[in-house]
Amino acid sequence: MTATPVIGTHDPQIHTTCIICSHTIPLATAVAGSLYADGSQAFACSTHLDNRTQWITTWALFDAHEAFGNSARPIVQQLMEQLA
Amino acid sequence: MSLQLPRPDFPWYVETHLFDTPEKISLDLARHLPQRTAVGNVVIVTDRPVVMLPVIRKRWLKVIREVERQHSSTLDRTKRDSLWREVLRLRALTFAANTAYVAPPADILFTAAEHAQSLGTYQTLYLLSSPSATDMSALLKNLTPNGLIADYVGLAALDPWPNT
Repeated sequence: MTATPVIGTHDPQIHTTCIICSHTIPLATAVAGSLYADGSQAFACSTHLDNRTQWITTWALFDAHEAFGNSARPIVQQLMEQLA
Repeated sequence: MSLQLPRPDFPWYVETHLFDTPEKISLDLARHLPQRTAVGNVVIVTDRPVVMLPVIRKRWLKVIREVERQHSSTLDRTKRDSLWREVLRLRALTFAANTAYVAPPADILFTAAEHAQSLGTYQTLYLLSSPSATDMSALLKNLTPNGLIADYVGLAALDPWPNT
């Protein structure tokens, strides 16, 4: 066991977009969450895990957005940007 | 420790979560779990499934209360709807501990590695204890392609899938 929390060992060569802050991040620093509507894996920066309000609300908005499609996109995207 | 398996044909995502106390492990797992339950079934491999279940369940109830608090503290319609949907989803999920050789049906199943043979398919595998190579092989058989292995024991650093 290490004293320092270590999160993320996905392939460091591959990058993805954090659904919370929209930054491009290496998979090595990402945490897998739920899925995009097309079935692909969505990720967030592991550092966001500690901000509980942001983490819970953004993933809830993300899931609703992916479940209900593009009709909710402008409003949800705007709210997600405000939270980031 | 030697754990060598045939390299899988399809990718799984592997995350390493290393913490120094059981409290930090259970806290991290309870925070990570909600999004993974949205993907599908979850299996948590631990030496003590019957002990671990109530620990995580207690933290789980706190997570639900946290989402409920956020729901009641916002007036924004879209946020309220999304958070309420999340509350209902989280409340509906079922937990079980697999102590026999027939796994009980549950969204989140706690199991000892040696009982892995009887499990159905799942999308997320949390490793809180190190399984033997045979048990790991059985666990991976039921993990769906593009599933996630959340490793809390540092197993991934050993690279159990050599390029041979």
